[in-house]
Formats: sequence, C-alpha cells, structure tokens
Amino acid sequence: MARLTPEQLEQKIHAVLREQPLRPAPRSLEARVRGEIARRQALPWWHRSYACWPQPIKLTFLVVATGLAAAMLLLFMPVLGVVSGDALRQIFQPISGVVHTLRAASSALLGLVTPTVPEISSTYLYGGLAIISGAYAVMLGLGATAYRVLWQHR
Amino acid sequence: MNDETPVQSNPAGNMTPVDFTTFMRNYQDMVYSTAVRLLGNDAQAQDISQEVFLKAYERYNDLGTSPTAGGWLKTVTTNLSINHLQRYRKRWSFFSDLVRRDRDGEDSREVEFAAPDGDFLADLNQGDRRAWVERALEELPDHQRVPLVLYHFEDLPYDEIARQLGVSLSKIKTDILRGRTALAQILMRSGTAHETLTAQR
Repeated sequence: MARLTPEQLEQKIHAVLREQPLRPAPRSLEARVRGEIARRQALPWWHRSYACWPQPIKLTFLVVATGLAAAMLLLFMPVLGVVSGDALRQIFQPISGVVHTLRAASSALLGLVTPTVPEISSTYLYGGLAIISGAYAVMLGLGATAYRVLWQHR
Repeated sequence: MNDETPVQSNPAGNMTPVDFTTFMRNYQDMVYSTAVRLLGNDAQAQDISQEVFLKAYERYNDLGTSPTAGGWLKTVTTNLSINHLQRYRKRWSFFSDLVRRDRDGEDSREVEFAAPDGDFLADLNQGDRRAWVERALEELPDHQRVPLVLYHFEDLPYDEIARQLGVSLSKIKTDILRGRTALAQILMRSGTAHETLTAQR
C-alpha cells in the first residue's frame, strides 16, 4: 500500500500525462474543413461578414450609413426644438448645387452643430441619446430576430 | 508534438508559405488533441478543431509564414474549448462549489493507493497506457479535467488558469488536486482491470 503526498501525486500524474502522445485527428476533419471553406466561399458577399465585403461595397456602405446617420440627426433637431425648420432650410440651401453637394453637406452639418451645441439643454441631449440608443437596440433586436427566424433554420 | 512542427523554411531562414492543406496536416493532431483533452468529447472536439482551422484560413496570409502559428493555434483552440464549455455547461462551477462544501478539509491529506510506490499503470504497454489515460481523463468531471489539462498539458500556472476560467485561485488549486486524486484512482482501477481492456479490444 503506497501513501503519496500531494506533491508526489502531482509529479506522478504529471509524468503519466506528459508521456501521452498526441491523439491523431480523425481523417474526416480535413474534408470537413475544406468543405466548410468551399461552402463559405460560395456564399454571396452579403451573407458574409463585413470584413469580407468587396472594397467598393464597403465604401458605399460607409458613405450611405454616414449619410443616413446625419439625416437622422438633422430630422431629430427640429423635433427636439434644438433648431427651427427655417434654420434647417437655410442650412440646406447651399446643397442645391449638384457639384457642391458633399462639401455643402459637411459645412451644413458643421454650421448646425457648432452654434447650437452650447444651447442644448441636458434634457434634450440625454433625450436624443436615449432615442438613438433605443433605435439602435431595436434595430439590433429586429436584426437578430429576423436572422434567427428567417435565416438560421434554413 | 506537432506543436513544434515548423512552417517550411528555406536555408536562408526565410519562411515560405505552404498550402493550407499541408499547414492543416502539420497541426491537426495538436489542435484535435488539445480540444479533446479539454472537452472530453470527440464530436465536440472535431467541431472546435474545424472552427480553429476556419479561423486560421481567414488569416492564413499571416499565419502561413509565421513561426508562431503553432502557438496561435493552441491558444485559439484552448480559448474556443473553454468558451464552449462555459457557454453550454455553466453549471459546472456551481456543482463544483457544492462538492467542495461537502468535502472541505480533505485536501491536504495524503492519498492512499493499493499498489507498491503508487505506480499506476506500471504493468501496461504503451498503447494500453495511452488508451487508459485518455479514458480516465474523459471520466473526470469538467471542473476537474479542464484545470488539470491546462496545468499539466498546457503548462499554465494556477493564477492564469483561475483567470481564464473566471474562478478563484483556491478553487482552482482544490479542483486540480481533486482531479489528480480522481485520475490516479481511475488509473489504478484501470491497471488492475488490464485483462478486461485487452479482452474488450
């Protein structure tokens, strides 16, 4: 009958485990990985992650998403009373020229934000943030639900 | 271990990319062994191994020529296996806590084995030893097997294991000690049942 201290036990177990050779991977693993790679490569770009999207699509998405975010902000400004509709129209007036669209949009945004920031009360600020956060959460929730319902079980 | 299998290199020491199939063949035993030891389940280990190699494929431009590819694969395999266990078996720490409360005070005792020198599996040949140890590891509960494997196979210190598993240092030490004792007892039983194993094959 042998009595082992915890230290002796550690040494013995370590020796037994470390002499274990590697377990050979099943032969099917390689085929599984290659099959999954092929399946993923066959997917259209919109079913892959953003990192795998083609470069022009990525750029377009960024421009559109930024534009949408800016438009949302501008739409909420009059609702929150931060800026009047007339002021908004004045801001958008320079955008009428096709050539200067992007330039005008950025200056409009800057012109809108710079003078009004100090006047925004904290209530409106937090209200706006809450609305944006809520909209974002709803969008995520709807997206996840739609994915699970419409796509995951296909 | 093919953990050390190098990426092909020319005499000047510059790494040259190997094709992904060769890369996979070099490392698949290491990845699978790491996963199966941590998970204790063949099917889940295959799923994790597949996921690891899919991640490797996504960044193969960097990994294909990297001398640290083996380490990267091992780390990803370990992390994915632990995530898998924590996602699907959150109860393991709860049950481990219950067991610890029941058996407080037993940890510093000497462990008694019914064999001279406590030498388990001494009579078995290499193939049988491997089979018995694998089976014994699979028999351990998750909360003992995972820290035991991380400590003895991956050479992680106690505090790092505690950090990775999100449990206290004392609990990790207790779980590892109990894991060793349980493993030794299973192996001891296995050694005396040598004939049974031989007959089963």
